[in-house]
Amino acid sequence: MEDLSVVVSILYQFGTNGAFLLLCALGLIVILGMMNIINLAHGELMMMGAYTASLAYQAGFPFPIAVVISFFVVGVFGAVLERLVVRRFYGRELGALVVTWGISLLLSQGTFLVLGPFLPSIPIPGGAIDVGQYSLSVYWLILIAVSAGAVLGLAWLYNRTEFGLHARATMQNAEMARALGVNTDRVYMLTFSLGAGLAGFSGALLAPTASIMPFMGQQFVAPAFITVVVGGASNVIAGAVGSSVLLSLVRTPVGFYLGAFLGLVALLLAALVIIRLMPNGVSAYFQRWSDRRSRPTV
Amino acid sequence: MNGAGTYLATRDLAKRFGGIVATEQVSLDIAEGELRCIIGPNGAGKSTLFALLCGIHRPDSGRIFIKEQDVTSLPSFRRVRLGVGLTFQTNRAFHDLNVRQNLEVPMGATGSATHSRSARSEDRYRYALSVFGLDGLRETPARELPHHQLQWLEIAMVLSGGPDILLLDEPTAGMSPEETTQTARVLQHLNDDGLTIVVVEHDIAFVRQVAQRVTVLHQGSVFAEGSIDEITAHDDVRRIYLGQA
Repeated sequence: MEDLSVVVSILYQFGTNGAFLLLCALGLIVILGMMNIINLAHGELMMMGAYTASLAYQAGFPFPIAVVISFFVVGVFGAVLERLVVRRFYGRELGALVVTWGISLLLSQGTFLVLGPFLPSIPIPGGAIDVGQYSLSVYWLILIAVSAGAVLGLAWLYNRTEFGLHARATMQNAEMARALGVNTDRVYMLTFSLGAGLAGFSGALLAPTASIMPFMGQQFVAPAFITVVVGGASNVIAGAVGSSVLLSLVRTPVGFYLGAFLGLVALLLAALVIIRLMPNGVSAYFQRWSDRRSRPTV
Repeated sequence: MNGAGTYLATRDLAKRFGGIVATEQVSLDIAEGELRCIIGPNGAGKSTLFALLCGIHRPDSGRIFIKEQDVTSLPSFRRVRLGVGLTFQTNRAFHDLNVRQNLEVPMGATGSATHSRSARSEDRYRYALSVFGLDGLRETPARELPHHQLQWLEIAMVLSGGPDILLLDEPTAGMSPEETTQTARVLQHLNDDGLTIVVVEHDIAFVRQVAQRVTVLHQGSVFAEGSIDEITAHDDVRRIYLGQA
């Protein structure tokens, strides 16, 4: 029984670590992975999601509705941001990096000035399940399922819908997409808006697990970038799933036996090693492997 | 087939880049069902004219009409939705998509309320798929196709949007003579079927195979216009374009 509960607890830790990385990365998969914009305001978009959820929750909305509201509020904000600012920086990665950094400062400092140093936190929904001496949070189990569902939904949108096809065509070659009748301005705006909305959605989901403060976004930025970059651009969704699994496989046992801090150190070291060994990310490695398999051997 | 009405027209198109005149006073009338080649030496303004027709560049002055509608200020995707199909000189099929997905991009884009593929354009599209040998390659990633087949894929992609007119910029660049001949045959067949085609082309051998009428650009203006025989017999054209005295 003792052994079994250790196994369950490690699996649970593995799941929560992976879900945390995926949730952090969700919006960035779209904005960095697909649109190739180094969006340093990603954490602040997540913060906006958490703020929206907290305000909606205080206004009396049930928490799941508050999460949906956050998705749409931050998504609309993203669309406006794309129209006014971001679209001027396509193809200029360093320009986009600086301008999104500026936006992140405006958002966090602006929130601090307008709404003060913190908002009331949202109580963690759901209770706990006891397994031996360990206690598993029901909410985190839900987050594991939701993060998996969100990634599957994103993959479906990207691979199976007309919007996804037009988005992929536009990101590969906008001029050719326009020459085939695609309204690329609209595709860019909707894609950025989707990425921002997903960041807001993740921020709202993670809000009950964090303190809701203007600078809370910073804790999400590093895991988000690490997950997307380690995943690579060949197949950004599969890459992010692969990298969050790999990184959690390293972080979980180290964290379990040596403490959370060393677990985080192990995650960063693992990211360094993986990028050194697979410079184009986990997904490029998968891609080569599946290309080799699909090609008939002569 | 000619004389059925003007499909594409330009009036006094002019475009400068800095102090350099790229095109000046270019007026063209392309009739419905015509197959027109636009030729000229390097720097004659062919690519600029093509970019103006596509909507990649805006002219400094002059106007462009499609079916008598002024499209001068319309972005390229709107012109495409009016029934214009474009391919560029450099190959631009989407390498990370497979053949089927490449062909589906324009379907959804142009198959909107404003323009849908008629039975006739469906036939043209099917014809191109089979004659270009793309039918059996639907799940192949575009990046694995050889060069000439990528160019053929691009023509098939454009046909999948169901256009009434094709604008092609050097569709046979980099092809072998056999592939060029095959491409010429396909374009001729499509034209016999009633599709209006405008080809900007450098390869005179290809032009001889397809063109009914040829427009010669020189120094940004229309220098001569006529049948391929008239054009090749024209002394000044031989001098500036064919490099013969």
